[in-house]
Parts: sequence; C-alpha cells; structure tokens
Amino acid sequence: MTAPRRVQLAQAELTDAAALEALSQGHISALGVLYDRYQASVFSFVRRATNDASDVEDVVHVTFMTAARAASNFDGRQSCRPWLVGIAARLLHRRKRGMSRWARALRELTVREGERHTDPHRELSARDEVHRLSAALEKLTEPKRIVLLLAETEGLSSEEIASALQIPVGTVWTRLHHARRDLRRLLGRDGES
Amino acid sequence: MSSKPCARQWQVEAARDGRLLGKDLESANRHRETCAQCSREERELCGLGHELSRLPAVGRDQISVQRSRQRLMAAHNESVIDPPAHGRAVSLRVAGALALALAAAGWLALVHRPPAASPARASREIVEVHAQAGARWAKHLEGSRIFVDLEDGAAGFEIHPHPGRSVIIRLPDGEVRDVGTVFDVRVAERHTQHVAVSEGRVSIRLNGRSTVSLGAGETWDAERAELAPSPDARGSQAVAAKASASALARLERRPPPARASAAPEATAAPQAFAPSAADPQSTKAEDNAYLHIVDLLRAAKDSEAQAQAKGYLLRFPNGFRRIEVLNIATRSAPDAGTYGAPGARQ
Repeated sequence: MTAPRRVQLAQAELTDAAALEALSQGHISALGVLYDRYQASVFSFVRRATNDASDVEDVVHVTFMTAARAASNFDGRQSCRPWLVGIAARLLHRRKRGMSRWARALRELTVREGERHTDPHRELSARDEVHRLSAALEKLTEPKRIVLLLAETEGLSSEEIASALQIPVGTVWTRLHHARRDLRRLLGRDGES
Repeated sequence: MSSKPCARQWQVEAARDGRLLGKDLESANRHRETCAQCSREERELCGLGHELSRLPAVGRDQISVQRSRQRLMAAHNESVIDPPAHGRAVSLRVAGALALALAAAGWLALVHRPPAASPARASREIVEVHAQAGARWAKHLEGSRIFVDLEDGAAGFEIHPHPGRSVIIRLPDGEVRDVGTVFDVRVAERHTQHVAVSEGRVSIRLNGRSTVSLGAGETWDAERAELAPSPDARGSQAVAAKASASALARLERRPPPARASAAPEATAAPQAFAPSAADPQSTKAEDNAYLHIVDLLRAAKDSEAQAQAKGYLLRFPNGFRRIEVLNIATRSAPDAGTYGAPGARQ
C-alpha cells in the first residue's frame, strides 16, 4: 500500500516561478502559496477596477484558477504579480463586454446615492484626499480605470497592458490619456479651477 | 494674466507612456527642463500617478480570505483530480451542438422533402377514391405504381398526374390504367360492368378482350361489349356484324359530365366505345385503318379487307367511315369499285 502523496513546499524559499512550475506539475499547495502572497494585491486591484463589489470575489477566484491552468505559460519573471493582475484585468475586460454589463448598469441606476456611502470608514474620511481620489476613480468608466490602474499602480508598460487586455497599444494610450484628463477634471486639477 | 499653453506640452504624457523614442524623447526631455509649463505638467502627472499608487489596498477580513482560499483550493483540487469534468462539459456542449445541428438538418430535410418521398402521402394525394357504400376496394403502393383493387361495387376515381407514379385500378377480370383522369368503375359478380370517363383517358384491359381506350365523356358497358367479339372470335363474321350493328345503334355521343365523380349509375348512359373525335391520334388511326381497307379492296383481297373492316368496327365503332366499313364487313361480294376513291365522310 502506497502512502498518500505529500508535497512539502517551503513557502518562504519558493520563488513565484518555482511555485508556478510546481503548480503546473500538479502540486496543489503551490496555488496556496501564490494565493497567500498575492490575493490582497489582486483583490485590491479588482475592487478598485470595478464598481460592482459583488463580482470582486468571483473575479479573484477565477483569476487564480486561470493562473493555475496557465501556470506553464508563465514567463519566469521575478514576480508574478503583474501577470496575475493582467489576468484579472482581462477577466474584467471580458466580463465588461458581456451581456451582464446591462444588468449591472440597471442595478447602478436603481442604487440610490445614499446607499453608496454606508461604509462608516468612508463617512469619516469623506474629506480625505484619498477618498476624493477614490471617489473620482470610481467615476471613470471601467475600461479607462483598468488601464490607468494597470499603468500607475501596477507599473505595467503600455505594451504589457495591451498584451494583458488583448487590445491595440494605441487604444491603451488613448484610454490612458482620457483617464488622466477625466480624473484631473474630477479632482479640479485641470487648470481651469 | 494667462500665458498661452506650450505647444509641446503633449510630449510630457507621450514620453511618460512610451510613445516617444530616440531623438524625439531626448528633445522632449531637454525642452521640459527649460519649459515651466511642461515641467508643471510633468509634476502633476507624476503626482497623480504617485497618489494612485499609494492608494490604500482594499482588503478583506481574515475570515473572508480564508473562506475564499478554501474555495479556491477545493475547486483546483477538483479540477486536478477529475479533469474529465471539464472534458465532460466540453463533450456535453459538443453533443448539444451536434444535436442542434441534427435537429436543424432534420427540419430542413422535412421542409425541402419532395412530395414523392412519402409513398403513403403520394398515394393518398395521387389517387382519390370515392367509393359507394358497399364497395370493396383497397389501395396499395408497389414500387412506383399505385394499385387500387376494386373487388365489388362502384367507385369514382380522381387521379392526379404525377411524374414517376402510375395508377392501375385492378378489377376481378382485368384492369384500368390511368393517365391522369376522373372516372367511375362498377364491378358486380367479379366482372367489370361499367366504366365512365369524366376527364382524361384510361386504358381498359379485361381478360380475353382487346385493350380499349376511353377518353373524356366516353363510357364502356359490359352489356354492350358482350356483343362484340373477343380477339379469339374475331374471325366470326356474324358476330362482328352483330356487334357493329349493335354499336351503330348507339352512336349517340353525350357531352363530358361535370368533373365531380358522379355515381356510376347516374353517369351510365348506355354508350359503348365512343372515341373522341377531338383526339387526333384516334382520327389518324381511323383514317389509316380505312385507307388500308380500301387498298385491300383495290388489290382484290376481299376476305382480308372484310376482316380488316371488322377490326375497324371494333376499334372505331363510332368512326366516320363506319357505314361504308359496315357494308364491307357484312356484304358477301364486295364491289371494289365502290371504294375506289376514298371520298367524303359521313
């Protein structure tokens, strides 16, 4: 009788590339390592990138499941965070193109303004600059917001964003420009006020 | 006082996003160092990016993280242990697509199927049998032929021409072949008694008798046909003469009845073998038969001419030369000179 297969993964010593390689070979625990390492980053990105909080958990879940399936495709860079965020961004991008966006748009229309600010923490920091920026960010359209976050918070180049979202790099530049312009206008930094 | 915006201000963002390369990038950087507006633009863009990158992470409570982790690990474990689950899903989708395609193909085949593809439907539409009460009949499809067996009683038949389908009415003592017709048939005591054609043309083949062709408005009665000789007895001059005389006694032609298949009794005006004068083929055959008789008389082949005259009377009892031919068939000493010149018709 053979003993059940046990995989010992030293979490601290395991690089992202090694974890993904182990994952591609069927080591389930490697996914746990990556999840513990990057779930907060991915969750934060997805939460900021979309106004629909109900989808965030699912998008994060599918992001890691997709990463597990595509582990063998990882290019071996030091950190897989941009890669994971790129997967999440692509999922958001595809979801955006789906028919569900109409349902979400309808839900948005039915949400009263007061319901958006029920978080006590937000209420207290309403005058905070961070909150102003977050609020302005939420008002951007999702495609613009995703591109801006990938560029400014995740540090992806325009080509990497284009590759992650499978859109032309010219579209990335256009969205970046419009996102910054809109954000500055929302923050009152467009030079006119 | 407001200064005019720098024309090269766009290069700040272009350089930041990687749209400028090489000499253009170097030139933009040199200009920015000397241009106050472009420098301010650079600071604002950098400040915005810095603020965005320093946005606090939106986190979850530890319980939610642990719950999501367990859910993820369980889902991945399932996908590793039971990979066919995904394959099954794909297979189900493929099977569904195939089923849809087959259903669509079946629907198309049904829609575009030619009418002849269904024998039952074809036989039902090609032959309409209007049988009288008590009539015993049955319809069969054998290959490309539709058979209607009329064993007893009277029935009207409405037959629509159909390419590749022939209709045969089988009678106890023969058959009636249709060429696209409306006609009535009556059978009694295993013998065909009456055939009346309303439209089209039928061919009647009864046992021991020559084939008879009936057109629209024509009828055939067994009672009168009994007087005509069968092919075996054609040599009998007396019988032939009697038949011809009998036929001549009933030369009345009636107009074609209405299309509706009337009851045989209602349409059974006593006529026998009344060929349609409008039928060019029949007229030509009649002329040829008459000219042949005349040629035989001219060649002094009286007995042969007499036999041909009897045949003429059998084939064309209502023919235009029937009186002359009857004389030839019944006289004992024909006068060839009388028939020297085929003349005017009567």
